[in-house]
Amino acid sequence: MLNTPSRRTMRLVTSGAAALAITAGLVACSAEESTTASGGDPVSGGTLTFASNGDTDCLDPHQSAADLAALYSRPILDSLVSLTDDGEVHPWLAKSWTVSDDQLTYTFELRDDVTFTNGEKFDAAAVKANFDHIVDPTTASALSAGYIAPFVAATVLDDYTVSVEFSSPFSAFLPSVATAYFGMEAPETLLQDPGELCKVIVGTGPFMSETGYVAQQGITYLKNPDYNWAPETANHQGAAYLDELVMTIVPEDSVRLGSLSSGEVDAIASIPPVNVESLEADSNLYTDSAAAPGGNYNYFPNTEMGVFADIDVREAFRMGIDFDTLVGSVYFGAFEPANSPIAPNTAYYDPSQESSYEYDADAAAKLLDDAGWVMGADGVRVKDGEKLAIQMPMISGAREQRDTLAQQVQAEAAKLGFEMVIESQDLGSYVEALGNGSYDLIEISWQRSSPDVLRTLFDSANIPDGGFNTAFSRYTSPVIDDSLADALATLDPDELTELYGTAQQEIADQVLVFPQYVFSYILGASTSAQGIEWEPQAFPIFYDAWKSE
Amino acid sequence: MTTLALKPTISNSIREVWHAITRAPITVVLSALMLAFFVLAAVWPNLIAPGNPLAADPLQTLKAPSAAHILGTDENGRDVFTRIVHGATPSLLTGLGASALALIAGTLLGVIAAQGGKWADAVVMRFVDILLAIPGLLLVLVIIAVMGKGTLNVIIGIALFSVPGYARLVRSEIMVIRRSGYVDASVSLGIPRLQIVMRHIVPNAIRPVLILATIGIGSAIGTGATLSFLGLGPQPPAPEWGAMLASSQSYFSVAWWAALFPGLAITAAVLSITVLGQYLQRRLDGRTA
Amino acid sequence: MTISTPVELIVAAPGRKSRGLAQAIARRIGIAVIVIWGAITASFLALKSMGGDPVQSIAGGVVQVTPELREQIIAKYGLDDSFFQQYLSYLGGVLQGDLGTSYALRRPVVEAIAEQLPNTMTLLITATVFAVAVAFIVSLTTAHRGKRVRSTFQALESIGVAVPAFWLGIMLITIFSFGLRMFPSTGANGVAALVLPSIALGLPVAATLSQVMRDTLEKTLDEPFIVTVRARGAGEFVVRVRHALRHSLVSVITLVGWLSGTLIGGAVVVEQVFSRPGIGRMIFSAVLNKDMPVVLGIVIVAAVFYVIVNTVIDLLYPIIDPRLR
Repeated sequence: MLNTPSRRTMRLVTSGAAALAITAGLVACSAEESTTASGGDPVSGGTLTFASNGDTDCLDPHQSAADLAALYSRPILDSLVSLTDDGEVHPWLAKSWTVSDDQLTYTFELRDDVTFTNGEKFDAAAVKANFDHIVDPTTASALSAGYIAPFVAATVLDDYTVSVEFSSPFSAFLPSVATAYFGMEAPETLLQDPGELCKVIVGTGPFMSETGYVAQQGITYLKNPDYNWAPETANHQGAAYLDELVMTIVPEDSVRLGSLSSGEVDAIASIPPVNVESLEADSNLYTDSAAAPGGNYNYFPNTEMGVFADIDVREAFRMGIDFDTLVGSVYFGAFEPANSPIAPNTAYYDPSQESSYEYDADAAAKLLDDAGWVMGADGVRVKDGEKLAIQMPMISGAREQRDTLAQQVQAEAAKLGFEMVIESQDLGSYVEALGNGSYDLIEISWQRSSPDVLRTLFDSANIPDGGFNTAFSRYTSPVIDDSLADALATLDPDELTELYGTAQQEIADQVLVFPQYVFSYILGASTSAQGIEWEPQAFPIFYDAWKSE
Repeated sequence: MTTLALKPTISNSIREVWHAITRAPITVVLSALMLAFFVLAAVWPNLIAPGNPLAADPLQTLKAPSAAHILGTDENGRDVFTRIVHGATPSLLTGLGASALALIAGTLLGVIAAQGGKWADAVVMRFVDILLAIPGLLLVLVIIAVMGKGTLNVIIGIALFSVPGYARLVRSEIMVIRRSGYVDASVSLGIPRLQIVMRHIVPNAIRPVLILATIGIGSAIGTGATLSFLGLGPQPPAPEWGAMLASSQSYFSVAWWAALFPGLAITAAVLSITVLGQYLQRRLDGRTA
Repeated sequence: MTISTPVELIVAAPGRKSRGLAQAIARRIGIAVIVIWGAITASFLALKSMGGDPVQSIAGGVVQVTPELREQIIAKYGLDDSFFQQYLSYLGGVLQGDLGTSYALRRPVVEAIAEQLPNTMTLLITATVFAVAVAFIVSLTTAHRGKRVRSTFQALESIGVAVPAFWLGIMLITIFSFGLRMFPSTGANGVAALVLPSIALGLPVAATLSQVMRDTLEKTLDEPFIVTVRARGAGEFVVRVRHALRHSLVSVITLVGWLSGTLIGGAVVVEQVFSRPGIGRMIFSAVLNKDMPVVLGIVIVAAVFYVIVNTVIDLLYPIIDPRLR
């Protein structure tokens, strides 16, 4: 399955799921903001219950593409390296590593004091078994295999030395391998049927779960008492403070919030933005949030067909709708309005192109008038008998009140003379529409914290052709293609700033995206739950967490 | 001359209706008024609420009830009252459509079962048993899984799970009429079978069925709202009571009005139709229950 | 319950012909078998009438189907067999307890259902107990108690039947879980978490039940034997509970059959509103994902459950009420 495009996948965001970043960039930083009234020293013991907002299709992150698979598997699985908020790569299960001059081979020196919770020894053979498992076609990896597409082989050099070889230079490897999607699982367990791993996985992590993951109910973890190999990026060493960690699944926002305020659970995922204020007013509770780097939540116009094939219509849509105000109104300031396809905390973000995304309704109306779109009696503009109509498919049960936002965009577009139809679809139909380009407008968030996400989203090589792919605007620009390709081949920061800047400006000039908001993960917790930290991809981790009385 | 005396005059009719109203319990009168309001809202929504139910205003979101918005605004800044009034159309349409469809299909099946001989009876009644064995909402979910979301499929689904009740009732009513001896007499007079069925049996059997269909409209509205609440009925931004409740649920702690009033509307509509249906049933059956 | 067939329809089932007991039992079981077969066949037809590419559905929406994967799936699921062959193997599978493999959960449907079933059963049982208890108390205390009491409760019952369960659930969460912080709103752990969902699910059912029970109670209280009992000096409580109630049990048991179907439908909504794990929530998300094996698996399980409950009830009638023998 190597090097075939069939492994391309996307971060599918099912109902209620929080989108988290897949880190594949060298520089990732997450802006954290906390109102926690932290007090006292950590104490050991107790149970922390966390209410998450959705299911994963499978616990095994080698198989699943779900963002929540990373959250649920992280307490059990350690990675070879760890990544900090500022994008630095640190040792974890690997003590050190070297990269060959041609950048094709990575060699890891492993710790020799690590064991899996089933008693197996962690060694070079275990690492090889994990890589082999990820790329094995029967694993049907929906994400991790695709992220190491140029992978050739992992080779055991001695007991604690392993090398990984690629067919082409692959500078994004270390940040990728730091994610939970490349967590190390016990080799014996990898021999089982993939379906078994969807329920129970065994790793070297600070927690373990024999009962495993139960759909709709969640997962209960016990402390791994022997844990002594936390990354230096963690706040402490040794075993986790908590005896037990429970993650339950509560998709309904109001119920999840109620369970926090009534004290049933200690912390919850995804606070609805409308409730942030009232929650902070409660002295027993606090909120904490982390912004995810990478792609924003964006609307992409289909530039190949329909009314958005005309750049003036795209420009009018971008200028004529006050997206910033809509985002402010729907999210009460909890999410920052976006003025670029990528989040401001992504490396090589170019602030100079923000001005292209300014609101000017009069100019937009004039643009449409000049282009020959005449306002009809029914409030829909018409040109040569063609209606100014756009159709946007949406996955039903969209998270974060995205449907509310879409309805407001729809209402604002109507004022401009657009007839915008929102089609609520199931996952299959949505992916099908994506693949064959049967849409005028499509909404999706794609978090990947490297600026290389621009290549994912706008390189003409990624225009979907029947199957799934990611260049949703379906636009071919040599300027974008060339500058992004050149960026892959250099490590010089000045050159990268120049190249990524050029691409971002061209994307703005050609009106290839209508950015909506920068995604933030908002966590709510009781003041008795302390020390909850964040993965760089903006989801909570509980190794350093503790319960105060 | 006797026929003349029996002929109802207009004034007599009015008097009768007036009597019926004044003698009706207060709950029935209130239900009738409530239903009249919903019917008017469904037929001519702009008379009651001339505003645009889709008009969003990002600066007016989640405003409490006031003179400008008597039931407040929702998360998109739309007027809740206007949306409830315009939401009567899909709700009543679902109720009427599903009941009518079920009534037609159920009556047809009931007649076939009762009149078509032993084998037709067995086949139809087993089919009815199969439908009955699948819980109503699950049956609708299967229909939607196969045919997709939307008002029409919701109507078909609700109708399908209501069919068994009608089919059984029609069949048993016909059995009763047949045993009355009247039909035997007609057969012996040489009247064709089909004519007996169409002229005599069906009209007599249909009355209790029609009354049940009235009550059925109420529960169909409730079921339709439930499916819209689950996101399987009319799609946003269409105003529909169940869908309104679903979308405002997340905001309940800060804007109770956006979820309270659509729920009241559903309850009021279902209640008024059920009360009227049961009243009709009691009167026409001459039952005291 | 908003998902209700008017009770009149269920109670007005056609009269049973009296036959020999053994023959009646054989006939009833025969019907049960036919109904279950019909439900499985209908499920198979539904599965086959799904639009779209079945291979893509099985592979999952995200995975691009390569020719090799396509062949693998076709072979594994027997998609190139004839229609009749596929039907036979589906039927055979179901009869052996194999409901297929979930597209979305990547595991056997039976296993997934078995995992969630206890949660739903607990909810259904508590809701039933709650509904029956409320109906008993209300009907016993209000039967033949004067016009005012009667019409007040009748009005309350009508409202109870009309209130949508999901709205009731939201109101209960708001008042008790947020406002008063009395009961937990979520989870499947412990008795406390069952209180609010059971009320939301059971209250509309209680309203229907108590309407029917009061009717039958009043009819029984008018019967001559009650006069005899009173004449012997029995107190009102004894008359109602010991004598009248016993005679109205048949109507209650008839309704239990109806309940089993209604409550499963209601569970879909209530589990959703309260974020409770269970097969109701599972079937709903399966419908959204077009995960047909799960949808149909749950339908078949529900149908079998319904048929068994109703067959047992039918067979019990002659035992409970000698008049029906």
